[in-house]
Amino acid sequence: MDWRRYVRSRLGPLDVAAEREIEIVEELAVQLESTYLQARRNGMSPDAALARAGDEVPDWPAMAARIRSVERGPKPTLEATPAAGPLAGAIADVRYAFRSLARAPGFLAAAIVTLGLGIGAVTVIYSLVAGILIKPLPIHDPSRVVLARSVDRAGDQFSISWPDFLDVKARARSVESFAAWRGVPANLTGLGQPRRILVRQATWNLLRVLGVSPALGRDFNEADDVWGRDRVCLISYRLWQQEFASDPSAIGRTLMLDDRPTTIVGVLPAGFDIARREDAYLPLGNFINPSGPMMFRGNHNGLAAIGRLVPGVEIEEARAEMTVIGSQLEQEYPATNSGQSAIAVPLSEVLVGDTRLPLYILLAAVGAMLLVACANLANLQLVRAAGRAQEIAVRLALGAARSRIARQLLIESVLVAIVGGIAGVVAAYAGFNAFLALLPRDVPRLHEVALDVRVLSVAAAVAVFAGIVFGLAPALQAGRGGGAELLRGSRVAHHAAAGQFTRRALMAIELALALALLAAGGLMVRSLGNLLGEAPGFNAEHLLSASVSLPSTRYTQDRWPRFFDAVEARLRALPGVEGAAFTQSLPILPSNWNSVFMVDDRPAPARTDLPSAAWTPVSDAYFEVMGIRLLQGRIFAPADRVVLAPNSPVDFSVNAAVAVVNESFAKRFWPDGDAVGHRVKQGFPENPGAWIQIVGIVADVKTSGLDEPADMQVYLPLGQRPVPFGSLVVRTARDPARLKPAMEAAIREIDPDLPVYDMRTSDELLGESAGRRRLVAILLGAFAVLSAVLAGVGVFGVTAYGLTHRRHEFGVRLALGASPGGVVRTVLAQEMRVCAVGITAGLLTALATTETLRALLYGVSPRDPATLAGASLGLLALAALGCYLPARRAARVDPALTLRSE
Amino acid sequence: MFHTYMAPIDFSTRSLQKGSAEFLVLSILDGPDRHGYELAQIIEARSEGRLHFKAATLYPLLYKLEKQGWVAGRWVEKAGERRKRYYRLTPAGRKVLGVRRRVWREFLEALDRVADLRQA
Repeated sequence: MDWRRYVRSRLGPLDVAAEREIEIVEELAVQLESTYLQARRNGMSPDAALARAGDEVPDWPAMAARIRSVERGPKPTLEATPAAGPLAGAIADVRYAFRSLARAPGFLAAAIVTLGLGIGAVTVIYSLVAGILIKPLPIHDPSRVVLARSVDRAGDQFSISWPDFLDVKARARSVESFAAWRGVPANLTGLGQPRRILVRQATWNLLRVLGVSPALGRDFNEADDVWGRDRVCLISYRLWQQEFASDPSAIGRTLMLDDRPTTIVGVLPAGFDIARREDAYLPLGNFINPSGPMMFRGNHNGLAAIGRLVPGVEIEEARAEMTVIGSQLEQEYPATNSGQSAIAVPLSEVLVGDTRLPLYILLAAVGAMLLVACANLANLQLVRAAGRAQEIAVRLALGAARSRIARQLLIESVLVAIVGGIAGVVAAYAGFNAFLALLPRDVPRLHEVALDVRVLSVAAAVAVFAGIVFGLAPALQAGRGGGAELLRGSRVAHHAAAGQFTRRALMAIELALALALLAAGGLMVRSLGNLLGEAPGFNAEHLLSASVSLPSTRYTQDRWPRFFDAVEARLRALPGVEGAAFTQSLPILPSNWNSVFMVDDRPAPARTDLPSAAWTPVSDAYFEVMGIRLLQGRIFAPADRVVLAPNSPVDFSVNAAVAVVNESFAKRFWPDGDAVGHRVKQGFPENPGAWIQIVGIVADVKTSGLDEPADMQVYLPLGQRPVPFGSLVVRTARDPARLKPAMEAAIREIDPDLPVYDMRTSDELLGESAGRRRLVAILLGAFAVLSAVLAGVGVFGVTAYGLTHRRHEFGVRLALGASPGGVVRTVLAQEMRVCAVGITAGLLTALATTETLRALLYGVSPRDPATLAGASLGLLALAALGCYLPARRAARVDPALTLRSE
Repeated sequence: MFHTYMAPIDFSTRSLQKGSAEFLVLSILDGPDRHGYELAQIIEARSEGRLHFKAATLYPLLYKLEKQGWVAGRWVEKAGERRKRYYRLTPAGRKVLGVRRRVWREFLEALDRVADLRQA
């Protein structure tokens, strides 16, 4: 018998100097050996003598703890804290926590990675919520600012016409004063590369309404805001910094906007970005020709009225007043206003719109994922706490208060969470730009999204909260349990059994949350799949498009088709290009031109019932380049072209006006298939314009996103209906993205001062159309998978830990003839019952919550049985694996070995 | 007299036990040097088996007394035996033992007067 080894194996590390430890082990070995030999001399059997010697130290860890405390002298730990007040105690706890964590690097690493992912994801998603939903608009008292727009009977809002705006402004009493604005793009030239910027046209009083003053220079005045005046503008602080190096002498300088000299009169305050980043504000009056189309009441040109509620007036009153004014205008101007009214909406509502729902869903999802991570860590902590039961027991025995021990465990958890939080924030910073690139372009206020102090303080709060959440269970556990019996033997198993219930409960919660996330993620991913699986109606392989807008100062109407002809020819000559064409509106994106129309063989219906279609001027090659199928008749030919004069109406005396319509259009009016040969006329009955003959029918193309049915569409030949802006499309032989620089250069060769913008491949186009759904699907899917993996690991951990305390039991079972397979089945049956509870709870949670996704789903119902079943079965399989692996290991124990060690 | 001498003694059982164990070890060592096993044996023998010091109690106590400077240990090797650690009383320990002896005597006399120990 090697008594030294006997002592050494039971005593555990004493954490004293090595020589001292050797002495202590030797001295104890002598004592036990002497006891054993004496017992043998007294006639005891070897076994009895061994037991007699073993009885000398009934509780090794307790003795080790006592020796440790004697040898190390007074420690700054729980039992020996000087009475120096709570702060000193807390500092001691923190120091102790550091030491204790340093001894558990595995736990620490797992915790930091898990929490880092969870807190990093929460931080990033919260930065979106903070920037888009929470951050106040850069204007005075934004909650009082409302937008007024037109609204149709179906409740769809659209822009207000200029004459309607003037009437609303004059009649409204609930709003102090109205300004009008609209956002438009403009070509900026003369400052480096020509480029397309966003500008805002607004009535002169806009900044007064918003309660904002220019940072530099002056605001607009009434005299600026008139048709025919020299153009002036306010530029953004950003543009002032970038292009003028914050030089005050920028005031008075001239910008070329759409080829018109525009004098800078002021600089807007820093951060003055409302809906999106706009670099110049111009007086709206400069664009309203008193004899032009803007004066027509039926012409809705993207305007909105913006005003501040009179103090004491609530939004509901303003809304009611708008309805009254809307119906007055409807009665006064039935020709243009029948079927429409006016509505007032809080500005923030308009800006945020349908972004709110996806953001809240993502925030909830990421919160659930963090909870799963916390539950996992709580389980790890419980296991650690069980391993430290003796340590805790000794402290209790030495008089430490339970609350003190609980506090110490909590401090340890919070410390871990803070480190995890730091890791999370670092990860968030590292991945932030990649994440922003993933966001759809049309997300409002995206420029406000940043990892700023506000976001980081929330991340810190989340970290501390997470620490408390996952530290609470172990702390409560430590607060329970007996004090005195801890020191007597059988304590560990008892503690483990008590903890196993908590661990299983946490495991079930993890599974429930993970399943709810899996169900939601699954629904979103299926929606995305359904959406991307929609046939767009054209051949989306290898297409590249870019947009241009011809300035009216340099291009008259007759030059428009010539310009696009020249560009088409240049593009066709590029290597790798199979065809090039022009269209005013690209498929998938909302049409740039929608208009009511009349049909030759039908009586004109009431104005409100006039049919509406997307009208799209295209070049002759468009259908072939896009791969849009011709179903009947013919497409456009060079022979359709008419003679164009610089500024006079199009002359149809040589060639008849022709159009190609899509299938939906043809079927709507001529279900029997004889649309070709009929005539249509664009606009209201009283509008001038030629009757246009239908010469062909083509297949439908998605016009307003992949998720909407195709609109009725009328294609016009560019040679008959010239337009100054639109998109060029090329079909390429290989990867279209690689042709981007060549395409831009080819357009610039024709006009070096023309900005080329919105260049994208058809894949990008389709991806953008899936925009929000894609974002939510990707993120929700990722959170769901991560949560499921965490839950699976949780099941594994809990099962494995539970089984370590049942090795004796399995040893006995196996020794009595149970088969290893039987043991595995027993374990699986027991653990899977808990998993089933969790998964059932998750299924109920999913059923109760997926309804909120409805607006984002496509082609799948919120309670889609296949998705829910798939998610449940997938998670069940993962949980089964998590149970099976430790069960198999438990069933492989050598019964003899196990029994002997007991 | 009672209150004068009893003042330094805490009457909680734990401290009494702890104090008595220390007292026993110190008094055994007020003689020849002893190693741990011997100490336990002597206490058991002199108490006719009534007091048994397990190693789990004895060694932490010895280490504590050593840390306090009341006893000193040294390793002694004898032919044909494991080396053993022998403990002896230090001068400081002797002084403490003297005080303890007086306190315990006074304490027991007081108990006797109150509870009539010899009667039982």
